[in-house]
Amino acid sequence: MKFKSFYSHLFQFNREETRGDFILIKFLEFVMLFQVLMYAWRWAGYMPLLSEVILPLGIANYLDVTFMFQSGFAYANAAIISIFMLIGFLDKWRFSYIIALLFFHLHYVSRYSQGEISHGSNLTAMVLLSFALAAIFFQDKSVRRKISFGFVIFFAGLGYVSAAMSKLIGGGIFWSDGAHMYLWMGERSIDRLSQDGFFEFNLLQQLMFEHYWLSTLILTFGLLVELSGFLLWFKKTRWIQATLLIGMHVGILVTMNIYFGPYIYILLIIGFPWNDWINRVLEKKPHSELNTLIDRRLYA
Amino acid sequence: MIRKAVKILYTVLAIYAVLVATHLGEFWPFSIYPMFSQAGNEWSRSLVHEVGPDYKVTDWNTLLSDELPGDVFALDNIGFNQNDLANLISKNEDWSPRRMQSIRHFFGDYLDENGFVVYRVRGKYAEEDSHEVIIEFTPYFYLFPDTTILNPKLEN
Repeated sequence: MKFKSFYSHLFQFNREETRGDFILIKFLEFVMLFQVLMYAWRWAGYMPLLSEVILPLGIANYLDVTFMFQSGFAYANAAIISIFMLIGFLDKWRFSYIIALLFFHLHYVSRYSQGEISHGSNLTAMVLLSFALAAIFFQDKSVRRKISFGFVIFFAGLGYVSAAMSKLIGGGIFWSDGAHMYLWMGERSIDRLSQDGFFEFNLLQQLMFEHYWLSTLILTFGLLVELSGFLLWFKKTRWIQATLLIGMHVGILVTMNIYFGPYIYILLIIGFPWNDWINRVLEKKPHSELNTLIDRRLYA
Repeated sequence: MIRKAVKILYTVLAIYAVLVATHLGEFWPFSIYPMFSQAGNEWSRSLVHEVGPDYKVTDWNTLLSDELPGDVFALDNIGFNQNDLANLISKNEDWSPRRMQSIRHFFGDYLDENGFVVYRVRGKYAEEDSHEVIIEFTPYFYLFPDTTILNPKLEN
């Protein structure tokens, strides 16, 4: 595939936008909106418990964010994020998503100022950045949607490859040694015990403790799946890669009790040709009211 | 159109690279995603046990799980995230009364009639080249309704 052809496929400039494309991208935008609001209000409810910054991240390296722990500020910030997100979703002002992202950054660095770096919300925020960039730099709504989707696909693939590279740099080719998993499973058992008050290793975890080769195999699978994250960039391999990544996330949940729900939902949306499937359904009744309704928005 | 999109993509990638390179790999939402990249290293977490308000503190020995007094106290009870307590325990070097007061603040009303011991929990391989993991619990401080007792090693 030639250089130009790669980007043409990434941004779908080689084809006309369909009704299926429109529904898929608007649904992705809706899910992103939902996830951002969920994080914003959940973190706002937690921040009053905090009093000091242990590890400054991002803008907190330059700004004392302890004011966010005082009464009302975290909730006010959540409200600001929500308002700009809704303005962006309703397409009323092109800069609203980027402003929402800036306040969302402040929210994140305040919530995760206690030493633990969470990556659970990164993909959601990268989706927001993708929609924000498209809204700022492109006027045509159809082009905006294609650009947003292309950016999301690109950053999702890049993130997984980066995660794999970090593991290879940090642990070398023996990163996937099954004994490493034993340490992590022990660590996560204390985490769950500390949070929930109880913990029991499940059947797969017990099998992994008994069979070193199984533990090594599962880690190797995870590493290879992350390393091949760039396969999301190509339409032909996207659904296979998305399926493998979702499988990996389910594996992380079962073996290490870490739930990357927002990643799974976004992969489910961007990884499969829902647009083609939606088109097939809509074409069965080309003059239906639903088609007319979508066309009105599509060609607005 | 495609040139403009690619230009924006490269510009964002450049900003991404500069920010993560100058901020230890993290400038949310930009990240190099280093989770689980350090394999095979000893880890440190935390655990709270409920020991009752009249518990007598006798020593500060490191214990194994079946030697711990009292019952596990789930942080879900106070809505606090275990990651945050674990990091507070492992990364904190300031054990001043002010810091201890902020820790007592997490437990709220639960401290009115109860006593707690907060452990630093360490996990490591039993021996070099061993697959066996041992988990050890070192008491860091006790919290009672009217007093806080800090591990003397931390006070020093």
